[in-house]
Amino acid sequence: MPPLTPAVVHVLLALAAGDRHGYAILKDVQRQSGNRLRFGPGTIYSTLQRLMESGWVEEAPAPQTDVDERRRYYRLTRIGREALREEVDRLGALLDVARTHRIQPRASRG
Amino acid sequence: MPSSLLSSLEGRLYRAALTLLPAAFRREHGAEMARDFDEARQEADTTSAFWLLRAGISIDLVRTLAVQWVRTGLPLIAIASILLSLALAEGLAAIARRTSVRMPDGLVHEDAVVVLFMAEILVVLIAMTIFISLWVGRLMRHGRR
Repeated sequence: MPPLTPAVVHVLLALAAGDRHGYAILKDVQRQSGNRLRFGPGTIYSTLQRLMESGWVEEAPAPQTDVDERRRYYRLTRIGREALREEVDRLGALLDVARTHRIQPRASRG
Repeated sequence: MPSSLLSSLEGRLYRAALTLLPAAFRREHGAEMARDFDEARQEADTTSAFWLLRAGISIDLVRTLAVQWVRTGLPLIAIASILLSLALAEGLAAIARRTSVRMPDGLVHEDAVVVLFMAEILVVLIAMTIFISLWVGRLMRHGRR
């Protein structure tokens, strides 16, 4: 499987925490990246569209507390979770290679 | 301008811009995008946040328009149609070059006739491009079903 784009990884990570609507995903991505990534609605829904076509994400029923009909909820499918796990493994292996070259993530330095 | 009026104007402008998206994507996610825009606008609480939001949303919209239209395949079909139309026009021109056209005697505005021919060719090219694009687009839609 080729490496996933940052938008795909962030959307999958947001959905790994539970069912989300588009705007919640958008806010989650912002939080995950420490405000460095700010995807707009177009990027989020284009990514969700591709993920739904691939069968990695599916629509989920809205919780009863949400009365806004314009909100649609999305959730990760089993193969979506598997793809995310593979990507995390790939990134982990990359991090190991970086460590062997004495390139440490900033947070763990010193 | 009062902020509520500006907010409503921007909301309408964003919704109007969403109509430029391909119909299928707009039907699927247009309402969600409009709602997200409203919510993001309500959350922006400082002037710099407003400008950051406006810039981010504008770039996002332009990118989404490009991505979604490319995904429909229509730009590729249009380019292929233009190339095909030009090839056909070139073929017709090659045939026309072998035949001699006699202009009526005493014709004063020969340049006008040339312009008229060129305009005619342009109209034919545009018509052929539209026809081929629609025809191929229809074939592709049938193929997907």
